[in-house]
Amino acid sequence: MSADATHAHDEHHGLAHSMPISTLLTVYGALLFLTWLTVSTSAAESPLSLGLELGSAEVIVAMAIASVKATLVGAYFMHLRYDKPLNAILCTFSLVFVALFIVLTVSDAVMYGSQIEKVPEAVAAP
Amino acid sequence: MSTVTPDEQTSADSHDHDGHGHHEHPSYVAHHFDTSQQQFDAGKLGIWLFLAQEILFFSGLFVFYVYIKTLKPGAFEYAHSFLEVKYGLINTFVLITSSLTMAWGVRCAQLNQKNGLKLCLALTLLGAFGFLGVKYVEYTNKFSHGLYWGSMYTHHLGGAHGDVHGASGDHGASSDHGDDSTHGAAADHAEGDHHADGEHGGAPVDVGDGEVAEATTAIVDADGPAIGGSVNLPDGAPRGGGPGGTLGQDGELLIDAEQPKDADAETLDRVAEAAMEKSHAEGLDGDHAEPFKPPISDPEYAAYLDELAVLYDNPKDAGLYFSVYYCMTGLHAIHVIAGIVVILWIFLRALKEEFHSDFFGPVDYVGLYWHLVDLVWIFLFPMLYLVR
Repeated sequence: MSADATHAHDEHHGLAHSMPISTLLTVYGALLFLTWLTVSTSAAESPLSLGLELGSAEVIVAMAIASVKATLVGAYFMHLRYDKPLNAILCTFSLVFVALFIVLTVSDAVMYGSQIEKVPEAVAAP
Repeated sequence: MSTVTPDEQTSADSHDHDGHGHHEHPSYVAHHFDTSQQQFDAGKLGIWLFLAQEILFFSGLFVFYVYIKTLKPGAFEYAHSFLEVKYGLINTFVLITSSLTMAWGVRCAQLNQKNGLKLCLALTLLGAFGFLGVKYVEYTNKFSHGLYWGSMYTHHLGGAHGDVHGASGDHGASSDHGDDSTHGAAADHAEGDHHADGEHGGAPVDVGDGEVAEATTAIVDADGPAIGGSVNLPDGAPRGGGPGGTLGQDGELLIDAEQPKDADAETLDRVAEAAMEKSHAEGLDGDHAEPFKPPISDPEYAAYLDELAVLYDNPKDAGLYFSVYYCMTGLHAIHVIAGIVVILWIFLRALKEEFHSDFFGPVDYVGLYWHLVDLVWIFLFPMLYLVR
């Protein structure tokens, strides 16, 4: 641990991989394209809309496109692709817990939602 | 480009750090780290731990969204239509671009491009302020139509309603109506307490012996601005409210769970009549001559929204959607403001030329935070603006 170690890093590859501009711009372009895609496939009214009628699949499509965008931002803008794997593992780990959180709460809501709706009138009944 | 290379800094500081045996300990490497590489990696892990927490932080609100959407899909769909996609789109574009400039800035710092770093950080800040500006426009737009959160939600179909419920917001005080003895305590509506006094001032539609279904259509199709959420049925008529609804104390349409405690036919009629007289006498406030409708051009869908509107023209339900909306975008906006603060801090340090290829950790970490803010918006945008 001396100047040698520090200098060696500088000479060879720096502290971390630096993102080439072409990669940054390509990812940027991909993100803009995916934004257009998500708006055009949605039922929302906008000049970009393609007029597709996806119905209930719309949520899945929108979330899928959002996930792809998130992966691009994470892997390239946030450097996860070129980082130590521990950072990516951390991120994935927290997403697993988010998934648990949402799935369990929603399944609870679906199972008991109708009973919850009846509480106010049960309370108000004479 | 003038730079302070690690070499110079090292030799300048070597005298100060003899005490703990690290002769080459540059000033930008903290004492508890052996090398700048270790410092950088440790910092990265630290910021990722923070980001993992932030993801979970926002997930709480996402659960709120999914939960309410599951239980009250109709109210969601009705209230959601008030959001304008163009604002969401502009904000998405602005945030993605600012993410690009931020990542580019990190690259500049890594490669000792000091001026490039300053420019990129400045552009990122510009994007952040632009985002807040668009949000400001959006929010004030909604407030001016009474689209508040929870029980403060005051937007109703009719101009008369909007008038009386204007306690919170720009539409002028309900104290205007406070003089009239029949209509005191209109300010109670700020709390969404419909049952207690029943003095709504909604213009009732006298439909004689028509069915409630016709009455609800009449509300929506009334010629002239005097429309509202209440109906005046003759004594013998059933007081059901159609699908999942009943009539409240003043004849307003309530959903299933909202059984009023003191429903009294006589009171209902008396109040409805008085409200009718009042709204005819006073005419309508210029601002509310026409009810604000969601910006939908498809006529079939607009008609469907009108039906939903009658069913959910109730602060508790439509306001629920706006609670979700304001909580999520509000928390996100708070994060954007915090991001502005830290980027500004890094920008000032960059102006002092503190960063170089052996020390750019802070730029990288702030960049990661900013990318997370962008990530959250990438999910918020479709969920709030696009999904029906």
